[in-house]
Amino acid sequence: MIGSLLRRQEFAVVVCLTLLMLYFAIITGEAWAANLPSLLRDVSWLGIVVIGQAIVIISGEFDLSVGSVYAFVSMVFLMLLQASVGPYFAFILSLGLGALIGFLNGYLTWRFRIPSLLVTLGFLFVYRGLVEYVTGGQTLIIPTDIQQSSLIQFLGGKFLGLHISIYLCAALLAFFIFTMSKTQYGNHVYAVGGDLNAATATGVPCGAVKVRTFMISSMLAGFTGIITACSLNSVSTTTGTAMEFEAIAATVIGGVALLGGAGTVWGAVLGVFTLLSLKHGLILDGVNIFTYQLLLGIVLVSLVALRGLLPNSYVRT
Amino acid sequence: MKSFVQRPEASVIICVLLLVAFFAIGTHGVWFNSLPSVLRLTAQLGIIAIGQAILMTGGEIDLSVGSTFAITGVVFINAMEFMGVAPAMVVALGFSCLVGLLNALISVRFRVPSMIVTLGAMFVYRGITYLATTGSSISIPHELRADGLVLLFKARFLGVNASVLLLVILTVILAFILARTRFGSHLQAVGGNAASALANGVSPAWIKAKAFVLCSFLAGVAGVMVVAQEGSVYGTSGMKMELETIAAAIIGGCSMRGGSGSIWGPVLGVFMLSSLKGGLLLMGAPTSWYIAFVGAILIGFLILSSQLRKVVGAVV
Repeated sequence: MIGSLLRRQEFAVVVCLTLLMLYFAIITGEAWAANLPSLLRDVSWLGIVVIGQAIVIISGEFDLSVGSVYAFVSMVFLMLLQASVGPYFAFILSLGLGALIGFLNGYLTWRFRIPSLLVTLGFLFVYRGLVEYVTGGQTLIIPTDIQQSSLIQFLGGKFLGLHISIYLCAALLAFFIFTMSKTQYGNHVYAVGGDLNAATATGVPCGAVKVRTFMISSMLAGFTGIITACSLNSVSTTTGTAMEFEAIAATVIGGVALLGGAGTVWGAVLGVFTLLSLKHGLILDGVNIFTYQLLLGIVLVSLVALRGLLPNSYVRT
Repeated sequence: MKSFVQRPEASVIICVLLLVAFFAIGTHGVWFNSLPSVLRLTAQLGIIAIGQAILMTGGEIDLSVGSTFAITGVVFINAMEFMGVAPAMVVALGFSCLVGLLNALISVRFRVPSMIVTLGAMFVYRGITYLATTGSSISIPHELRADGLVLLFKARFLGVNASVLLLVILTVILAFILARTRFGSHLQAVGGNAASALANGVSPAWIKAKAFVLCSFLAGVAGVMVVAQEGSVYGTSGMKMELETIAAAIIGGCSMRGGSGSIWGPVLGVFMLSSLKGGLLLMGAPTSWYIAFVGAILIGFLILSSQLRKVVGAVV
């Protein structure tokens, strides 16, 4: 039992997270507890994006466009609201746009056999450029009368003192843990990421599986964009920049194999938790916030290097 | 004709020609007046893109070039206050080589994918750069601004900026190294198939380490050059450079999977991106168009080259 726990790739992140939380809880005391709801909110925002990123990486691909898709979908959502499309209809249209973006990523990757790193790098530029062009450097704001709409109140609101996004993240996490471990689709994702040729030979529809993972990733990124837009009532030009790097770092810290085929969705979300506990802890501690990037880099590299050194690391990283 | 189409640089040459023609006609020749500033932009990014191209030929990737670019500038400025400009330059360039060596060591010795190592390095050096510049910027001290070495980078030879000249020299040297030397062919062998390279007595670890150091060194050269030209380095200097250089390298005919690459192709790719930036500004388009165009061109190139590969059977 203990042995199998030790061998799990997520073990390192669990230890890391526990130590971090203990450290900052002792150092900053009550301030840490008071900050917990806002920490959880930030974890849920990045966490939903990272669920998608983790599935894409497990399937052996990358999605660098999440940050731009996040900004682009939330911008389109706000523009639809400003054009007085009903909030529910706007919500569905924006999510549909997210799905379409993901389909395009996946289709181009699969149809033309182009590395997904490059396809999504291209779309990172495209959507960011569109966001900058449309907003013109300004911040878009939800019109005040629409801010009272039930959907926006719900998505941006709180329940029992915690942001709704936290419950949504937990629900999505539970759903995708189930999908990845108990359904045929989840099984296919692992198979495609582990050995594409073997998966093809055993009749897994690889193209369809990959396209679907990209659609999930883009939809989740867009969904998070909409939640943050509802919560902040606005979208700014630079929203979501460098998010792709944070998402990949969190996923890898959480034990997902960079070349695909291994890892879990919950490990990746724990990775987000580690990353953001560090960030919030440093801020509470009064340490210069720029130190965060420095520590993040060190944690990322040393965790992956350690995993390579440990015995029994039969899982590719 | 067929041998031209088979070259990985074919599409970028055609694209550059079309783009130049488009802007020259579209702006009624005014575009040519902006050529010096376009070339200066090309020199900054181009030197880094050469390094990225070398590393990608070896089958690895460096996401930390932008941060290395910035932190070398920080080291350069801080060191020159103690020891003068020339030794500071040596220290800064030596530091950039160390950055590359560390990347190589972790990536090769501990078998961590280079994407992760350099992603971590990107965070670390960016963090240090932010700390050193306290989030804004630091500049060359006033008394050192007239130093000969600093002025050398600002000088013009035969009407061409010194940085452009440096880019040309580096392009020629490294194109020669890649095409004609033992290191160059070993690099392509390792990038193409590390296992068979090893079986033939070429050490992938050693070759890759050299490529990592070369890549960081070139990013450092660009960092020192830009500091000498502009006089200061910002906390945000060089951000997104990793993405732009990768895009330029791919447009210029490098393969994501390693094994084949080009030096002057990526430099042309950078020239294309820079002239796009300058040309769009001249035509009165918003700057944000530039980013979107870069993305669209990159995707277009990828699709085109994957189709070309099928038609002419080129090894790309």
